[in-house]
Amino acid sequence: MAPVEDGSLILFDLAASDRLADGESLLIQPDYSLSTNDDVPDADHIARLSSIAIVFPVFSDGRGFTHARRLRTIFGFTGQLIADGHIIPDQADYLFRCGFTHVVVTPDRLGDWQQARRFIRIQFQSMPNSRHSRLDSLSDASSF
Amino acid sequence: MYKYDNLDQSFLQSRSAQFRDQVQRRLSGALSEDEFKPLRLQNGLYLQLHAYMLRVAIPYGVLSSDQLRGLAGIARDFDRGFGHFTTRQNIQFNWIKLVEAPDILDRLAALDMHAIQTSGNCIRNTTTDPLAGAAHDEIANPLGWCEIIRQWSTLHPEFAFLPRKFKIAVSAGATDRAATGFHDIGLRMVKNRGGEIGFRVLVGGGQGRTPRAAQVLNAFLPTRHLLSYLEAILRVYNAAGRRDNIYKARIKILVEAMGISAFADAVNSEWLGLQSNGLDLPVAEQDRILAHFAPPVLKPVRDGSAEVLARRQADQAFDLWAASNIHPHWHPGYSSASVSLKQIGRPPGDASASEMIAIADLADQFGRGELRITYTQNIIVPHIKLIDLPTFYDGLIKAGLAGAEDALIGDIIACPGLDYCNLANARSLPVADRIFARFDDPSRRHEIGPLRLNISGCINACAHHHAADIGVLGVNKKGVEHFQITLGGKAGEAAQIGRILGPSFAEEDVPDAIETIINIYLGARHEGEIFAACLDRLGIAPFKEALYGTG
Repeated sequence: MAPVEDGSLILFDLAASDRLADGESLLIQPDYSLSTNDDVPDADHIARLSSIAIVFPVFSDGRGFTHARRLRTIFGFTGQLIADGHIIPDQADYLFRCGFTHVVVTPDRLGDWQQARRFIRIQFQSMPNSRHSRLDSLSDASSF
Repeated sequence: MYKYDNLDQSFLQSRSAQFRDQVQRRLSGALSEDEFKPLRLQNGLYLQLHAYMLRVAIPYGVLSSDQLRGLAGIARDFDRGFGHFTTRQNIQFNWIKLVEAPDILDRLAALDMHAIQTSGNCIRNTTTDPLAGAAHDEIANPLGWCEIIRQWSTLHPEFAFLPRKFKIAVSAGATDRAATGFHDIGLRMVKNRGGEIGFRVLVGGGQGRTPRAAQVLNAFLPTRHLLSYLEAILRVYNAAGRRDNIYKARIKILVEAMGISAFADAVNSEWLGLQSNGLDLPVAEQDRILAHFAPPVLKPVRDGSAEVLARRQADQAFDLWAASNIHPHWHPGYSSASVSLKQIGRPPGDASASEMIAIADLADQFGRGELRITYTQNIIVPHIKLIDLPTFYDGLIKAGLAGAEDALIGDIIACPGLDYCNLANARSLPVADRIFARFDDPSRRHEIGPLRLNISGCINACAHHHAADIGVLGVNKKGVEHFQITLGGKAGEAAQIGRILGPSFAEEDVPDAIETIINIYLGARHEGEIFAACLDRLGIAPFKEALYGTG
């Protein structure tokens, strides 16, 4: 992972839509890091991990989204899932809904990431962290 | 048809606001063109040769007369007064300014319409039988399932950056009128032995430079599992589809590389893991959506066949029109009628703003205020009383839209070609015009009979030349536009790829070549034998010989 001591990279917390305070240790050393081109580790291995980073070589490489969904829904991974590499703010919702908790971003783009999380508050799929808006009449679709 | 509620409308408004912000960031330079490109594409905005082109989604080709009038307004206010209907049952506007695109999306949102996922490497507009819900031969109405797929695929977070675009078609008629065999996923509604309705799932069909007919992935999928099963297919594809070469990135290449049985194993194993994930819609939500597509309540009417026959006997032009443009309906005394957008001087599929308004008015007056865009780039007005057909036809004459027929040689599918498209090798539109001119006599078109002729301006095959009885493909031969001819393509569930006849022709020689092919057919056909059947019987050899000699 890229150097962070100089503050050139920060962790964006997708759920809070803000910079993760004291995120340095996670930034420097997640338990496991894989590229979109790699397979996800096996289930036994995953069970021992509390943080996994998925590195996107280019933002249009959508395999990272499927990796995340498999980790969350098939392998039951419950730890921190970090998107790193070339990701753009407009993907914020997709990342969050696929199960990513954090994104490695540069501080100057923090506002863009926060802005991007505000737009679309209605969804037509059921994900563990974002129920189908119409099916979830009890929850408030605008509260994240 | 599906009626938007507050939630659907509020979703579109937020999507439109998001795009306005993205355009502003692009105009201010905060977004690079590289970053902006996938965002604009997923909102239907292409950068073409001369301007931006906006492709607006017409979900499964169904729209209301008010929506069509709204599209006419967009054509008038933001384009040069025309819209272009496409083979994905969508509409394109070819002369769009980037700064105005957000205003157009707002205008669309007010019509309960959008341009979401009409381009980009994502799940595109689901297409279907343009007669769905009005056909005489379907086992169920596929439209509700198309809407279920539309909602599921809209901003699906996992599948917004697929290896390549992804196209799904659904059909339920005894005849497949949605080219399911040429889709990434084709869904044919079928009944199992127990009488239960489900889907036969086809996968891996497509055209482009590597045309493939789809293969059967699942002979019977119960309807309640549709979404989890689609999710499993898309997931296998998203993870394993090639991303190193855009020409090898469609699912057809993956299916072929893995083999259909290994691909089916991968899908089933993924599906097993997914079934407990709550992806399939609860029955109540499924029924809520399907209820929007309940059959219309049609008043019992006197069978108007006698009136139609009387006019046919008295009026040859009406007779020729009626022979091809009227479709049987499930309800006695009713029909659906094709409005052809094919004639000399008109790019196939183009309609002017005033024509769109005229067609919308006819749908209000004689139909149920509903229209269908066909994959052959025409418009169908469903649910017309037979007894009204002569007056409906008079309305078409008044609008200048009565001159051509559905499914005859003049019913050409053509892409915009090099006149607009930055991928094209050749101009499709002038060739279409030359063929219209050569076969300008409606009696002769009827004499030739049902025949599909499609013209693509390049190997990407947007006009489905592979699936045509006679396919015409624009190629670049040493810097000069030339046209290759294929014969014997078929677009149904049992898709068949046309075979190349031989060396390509210069643009001006294409009509002669087509005419030579037609003359061989006319000379050899048995009584009542249509072109496709005659070609099946004869093979391509006699056509080849007539065009190129025996040498």
